[in-house]
Amino acid sequence: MGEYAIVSENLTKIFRSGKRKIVAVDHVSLKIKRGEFFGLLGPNGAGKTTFTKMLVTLLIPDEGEAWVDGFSILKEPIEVRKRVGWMMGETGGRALYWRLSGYDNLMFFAKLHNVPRDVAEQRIKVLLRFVELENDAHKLVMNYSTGMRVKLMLIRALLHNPDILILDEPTLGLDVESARKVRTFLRRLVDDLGKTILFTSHNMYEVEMLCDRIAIINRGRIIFIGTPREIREKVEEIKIVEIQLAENGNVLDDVLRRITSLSVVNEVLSKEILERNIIIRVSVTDHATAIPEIANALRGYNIESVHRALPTLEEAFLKLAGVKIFSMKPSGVGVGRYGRRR
Amino acid sequence: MAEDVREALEIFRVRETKKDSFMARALASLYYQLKIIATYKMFLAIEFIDIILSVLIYYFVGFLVSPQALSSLGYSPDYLAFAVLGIGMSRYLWTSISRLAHKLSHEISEGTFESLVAIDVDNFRSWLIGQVIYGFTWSSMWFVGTILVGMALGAKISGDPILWFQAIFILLLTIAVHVGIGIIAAGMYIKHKQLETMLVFLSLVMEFFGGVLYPLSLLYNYRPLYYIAMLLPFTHGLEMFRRTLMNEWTILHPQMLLHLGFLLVFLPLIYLGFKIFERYLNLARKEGVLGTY
Repeated sequence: MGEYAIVSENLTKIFRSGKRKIVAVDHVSLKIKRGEFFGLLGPNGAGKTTFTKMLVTLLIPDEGEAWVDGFSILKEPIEVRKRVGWMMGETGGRALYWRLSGYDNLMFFAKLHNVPRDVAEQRIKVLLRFVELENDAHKLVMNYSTGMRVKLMLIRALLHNPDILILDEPTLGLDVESARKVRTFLRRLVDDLGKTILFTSHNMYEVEMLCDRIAIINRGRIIFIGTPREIREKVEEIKIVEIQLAENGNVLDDVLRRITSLSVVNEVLSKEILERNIIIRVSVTDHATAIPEIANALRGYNIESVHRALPTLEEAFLKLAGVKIFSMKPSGVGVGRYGRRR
Repeated sequence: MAEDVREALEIFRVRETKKDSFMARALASLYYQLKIIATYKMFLAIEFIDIILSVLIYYFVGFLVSPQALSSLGYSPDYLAFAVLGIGMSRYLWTSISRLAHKLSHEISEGTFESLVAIDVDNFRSWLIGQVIYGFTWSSMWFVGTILVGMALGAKISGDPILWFQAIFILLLTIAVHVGIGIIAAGMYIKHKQLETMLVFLSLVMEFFGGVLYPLSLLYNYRPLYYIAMLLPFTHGLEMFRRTLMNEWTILHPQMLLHLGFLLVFLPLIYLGFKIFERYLNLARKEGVLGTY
């Protein structure tokens, strides 16, 4: 157990509603090493939040067991709670006291977590500055935007300096710059201070960028555990072609019609319009024949490139789980995943 | 690495060692609750007006109750003092029974409850205690307010410090018994939700049978009701409290000892309350209804 921060064995949670039974988490077994940044990825309703709530002892499993920092969630819930910083996945900031200021919210929880006043004041001051909330620290939380509340909830999870952080969608609702800063900071917490982070998300970009390993969960079951690279390798048989056109979005329907009429094209995986650019990804039967056929079908349009592409995590997930994960964009980004190429 | 990231990391390199006491954390819970309530300006104004109006109502009712009737039932012939002590103490009854459940209901609907449970039990308990202290601080302000307004209107209440000491002891004992019921109610709330109506009913029943607004002896003509009243701990607490401050009876008076015995029978409720609360909390964790309302 020593080398692992979190271990779960056959963890199962069943919710009952009358005669209906919903298996939210189905025999999940995981081992997360100390100092690891671990992503739990899955669509809405996959069981991510239920799984994390069992780890922070807010839910009692129906079957199985888990250990956090070596302590059983069933037999030693108090010890578990002392060691974990938990940020609930809730963008509206309901988990805060809306009629207290941001600063008071943090001081209150610091006190409950037994953090000495001088240490708490120092941490709150630095972290509020870090997330650029220092000028709003003494405003009531009810006057905060969603992003500001998310930042506050993240700081709250960190206040007592726990070794293990369980963060449920910590950048959801943040603007681009704040999300980037938070991601950098979380990664450094792992790399420099050896903290363990279990991070749930349905944001592929974020997971791919941050996590050492990921587990994909769907309908309560783990369907894959490995590095982001391993997941992509596992689904290498997906043959993808990416088409980039220097055209306005109003031609998109015609472009799609031409592409999908080709027998070499299986399906359209994604389509994005970026100002005067259109980017389309399609799965094909064979790269060698598909690329010239697509280029030929789009004659007359301003083609920038038609090239072979690697599957993204999103596409890999689609292949493994058979369902789509909703967000492929970094939190709050107004452009698509491909924006960085512009 | 950017300077702000470096600075944010640095503060986590230090491990704190000093710990605050349980009571300091409970008082923090009280302090921030008072801060929250201070933002409800209209509520504060209405509470203040409520104190004055409640006493004024009984001041006028006092004109309708003859001093002879009260004297014949063994009380001093002052209905205002009788009513002021009754309503002052009934406020503690309401707080004891419904404060925790009401607060948990609020925390659950606000969404903060799970965050509180996710901290360790000792710290969660300190939060609970802070909330209980808050409730009784508020009740005490109400109590003192009613007594002062009542005395200003001529209510005759004993000024003997020893008797007041005894009255406070009786008050604390009555609170302790009813807090046990309140903790059970709070546990039931976590599991079953929406119990406000039940709590209001329970408090009203206790208030009615406890004789807040009329001398208990009047119930003697309706035996079944009288026996129900005698089974309720509040009846005994309030009777002792009034007899102390209106009749100047000491705890050694035979009737007082009898009431004290009744109250003490209910005292284990507080221990039972914590056990039942814990059980309901675990049931809610099992069923996944901790954060639902």
